Amino acid sequence: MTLAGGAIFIAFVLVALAGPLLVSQDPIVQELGRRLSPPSHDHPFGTDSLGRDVFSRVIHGARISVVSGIAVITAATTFGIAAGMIAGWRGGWWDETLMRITDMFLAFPSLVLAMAISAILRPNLTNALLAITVTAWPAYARIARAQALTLRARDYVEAARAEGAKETTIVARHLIPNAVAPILVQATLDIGGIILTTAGLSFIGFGAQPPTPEWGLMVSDGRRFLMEQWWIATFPALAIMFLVLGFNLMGDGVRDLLDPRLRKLT
Amino acid sequence: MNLLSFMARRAGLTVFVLFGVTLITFLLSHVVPADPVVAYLGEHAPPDLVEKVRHQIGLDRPLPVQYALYLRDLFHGNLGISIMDNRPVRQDLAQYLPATVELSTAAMLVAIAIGIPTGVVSALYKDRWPDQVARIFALGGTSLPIFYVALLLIGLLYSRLGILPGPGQLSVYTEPPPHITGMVVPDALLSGDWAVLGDALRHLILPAVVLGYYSAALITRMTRGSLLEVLRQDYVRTARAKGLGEGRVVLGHALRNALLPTVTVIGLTYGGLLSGAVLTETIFSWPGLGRYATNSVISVDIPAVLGVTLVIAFIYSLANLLVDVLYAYLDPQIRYT
Repeated sequence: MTLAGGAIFIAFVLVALAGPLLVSQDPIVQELGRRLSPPSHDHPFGTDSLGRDVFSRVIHGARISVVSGIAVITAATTFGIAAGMIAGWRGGWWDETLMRITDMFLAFPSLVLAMAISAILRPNLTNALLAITVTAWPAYARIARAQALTLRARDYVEAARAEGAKETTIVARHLIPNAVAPILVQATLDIGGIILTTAGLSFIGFGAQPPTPEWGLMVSDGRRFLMEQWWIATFPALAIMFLVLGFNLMGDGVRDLLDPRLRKLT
Repeated sequence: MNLLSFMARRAGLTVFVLFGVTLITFLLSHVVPADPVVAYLGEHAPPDLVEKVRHQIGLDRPLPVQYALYLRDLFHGNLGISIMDNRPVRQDLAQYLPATVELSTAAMLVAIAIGIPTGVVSALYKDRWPDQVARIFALGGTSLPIFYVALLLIGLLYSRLGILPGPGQLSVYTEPPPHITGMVVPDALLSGDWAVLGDALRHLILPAVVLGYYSAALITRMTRGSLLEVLRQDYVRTARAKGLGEGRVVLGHALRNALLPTVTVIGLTYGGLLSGAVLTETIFSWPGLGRYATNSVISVDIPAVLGVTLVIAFIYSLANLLVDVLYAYLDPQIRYT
């Protein structure tokens, strides 16, 4: 299963990186004479309501989705690890405060909070990703904090402290590397959901804006035509599904791989 | 510690979190880039009028004071006026809340009714074809975009085939039942209005199934995992050795213990239900909080957006509290963490 997931994931990453170079058709150019045409040799996925080639839009959208997901995860885990490590290592007031703050953020269902933030900022993809990052970081902060609490009592930390190592060195060199495993597991499990949330926000108009070929936006565009010109909305939706599936399968695999190791570490 | 003191402690934490939620929504309302007073009065308003109104509304007071005033308003149920329909947000929310409760509850029931049996079957027939089918079903639930599935099903079953009725809670020509709970299905049931009940149920099925599918997938995976875990335990082997039929073993012994983590998952998926309800309600024109949230975001109706966000966060927190207490009731060991 993991192999399948890994294969899908790698395929998508390749498409995301190299695809736009390979595809000949411009995803934004409109060919109004050819609008709403079904899949054909020239247009493998058909054309949409403005005559744009759906296939190349899907390919370009891959880059957007993959980069968005990775960007959000990177930002959320970075911020989360930083906050969680400080809280777990320092303990006391720092810890209590962080726990309360994460509790507050975690009280909001993620899409709802992301929508609220998006409403306040101007609607574009960057702000949507920012909003989603705000909803995602608390979970990683908690994992990092738990790891910091567990690991700071370890002998090698004691030893490092006895040697006179600075606080930041201990945290950076000993705590963080050992905390990475559960965070990595959680991240690979979450990234699929993040991609879905991004698509969802774009679907209601609060993420990527036209003419960006973002998959959620494309499904929204194709909404009116779903029954007759099904290809406009269906292919982007399938793309979303496969990408998320790939990440989820890979995440499951990563978790299976790291779990027995996790138990050995703690 | 006993259950009561656990409940008290958790309830206290929830109250604290609810205050935190209000703080976050308050801060959000003050991060708005546009100056709300200028937006309200129009761009060409003279500066001294702008200042006067700002003083009137209290936007020139220091932030903590404004927060205190905000809390005071909240306690009196004042959530501001919605820009969209010029009604108090509180009124909007009161009107739309029952529909969301109805849909979420129905979706949860669907999810449990589908999820648990599927999980059980999946565990019992591990790696054989029922398991594979169930796992594919569960995978779809985590990767299919809900907005597409909703669009597809409503397009096929309503537009193309005409099997199920269209969007909304009731058909256009149907008279709603007398307002008892505010929820259409219970109200129709309670007032014995069978025709309306049928119509309402037919409208409820598709959104509930779409929304419930995602939770069902999670519940299936959880039930399968924990049942497999439990079936390996010694007491199950003992039960079998005693000569009990497989049915008694699974249902009487294994399932009861396997269901404990499932209860937590049911609680956890509630948050996902609320998120999923946003998109589902929007597509099915279901008159609930989710659709209200989407409309208010699209209209950039900040009071409405923040009001609905606040309420949804409150509901979510209360649901989590209930789940925690339930879990502690079922598994006494939890009370000591």
